[in-house]
Amino acid sequence: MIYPCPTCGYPFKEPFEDSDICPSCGTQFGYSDSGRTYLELRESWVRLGAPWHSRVVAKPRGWNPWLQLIDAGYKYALPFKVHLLIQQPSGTEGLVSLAPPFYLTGTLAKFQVAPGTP
Amino acid sequence: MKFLGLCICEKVIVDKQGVHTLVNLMFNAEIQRPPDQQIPPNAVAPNQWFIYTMWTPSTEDVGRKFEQVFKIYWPDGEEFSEQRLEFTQPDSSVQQVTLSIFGFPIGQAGKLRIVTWLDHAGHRLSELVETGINVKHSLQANSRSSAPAPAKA
Repeated sequence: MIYPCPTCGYPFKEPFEDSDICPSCGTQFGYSDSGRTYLELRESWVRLGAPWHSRVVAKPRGWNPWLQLIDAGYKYALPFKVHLLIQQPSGTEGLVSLAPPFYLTGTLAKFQVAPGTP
Repeated sequence: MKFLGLCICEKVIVDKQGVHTLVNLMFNAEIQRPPDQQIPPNAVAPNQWFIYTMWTPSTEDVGRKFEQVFKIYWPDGEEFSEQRLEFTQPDSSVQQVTLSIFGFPIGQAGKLRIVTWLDHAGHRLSELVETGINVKHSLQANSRSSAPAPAKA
């Protein structure tokens, strides 16, 4: 079971309680969130560049604040709105008929017009 | 297990019979941003993408448990993600392993490296296999002239 921080989505393994501090964004529950909404706290954290907050808890290996926001369903909070275009390299296609040549000849012969036909 | 294939694509569809369909193979990705926005070097876009691999088993691989390791590196060489998928080879037919990733690394222009291999009993069993995606940054078309420059006579 995971309990995501309502500000940044950091996955707590246990339910957080008042005075707990999120190591990712620094939200102190019962303090930071009194008078400020989680949306405001999130925007404020993102404006700072979404840095790892804690000096006590080590940043997890490969931690990425943007992935954390996306995983928690806060992708709208990403400060960059980009278009991702997939570009294809050049390609070559071949078309091969496996029909024997006499078949092709016969098909073509059907559509040949006799000389002198108007 | 012998390596047979590796593809990066936008979507892998697996139907009820287990037939895999790869959609939009990814070799080059262009990231278009508005001119007033900067992209941090660790930026990730909320896009799903897939790493698809195929392995050919030998007779002694049947019934064995494997772990496929996937590592993705930013263009500057730093690791972006490491994922592991376990599977047991059920028979002697080709094994298809697909990893779905939500979040595409867009922060750095250059080559994203994707490296994968198979582990067995804690040891690397297969060769390292590598592919890449070239990521390019550009400005969004509506923020500049999207018309091509006229050809010089």
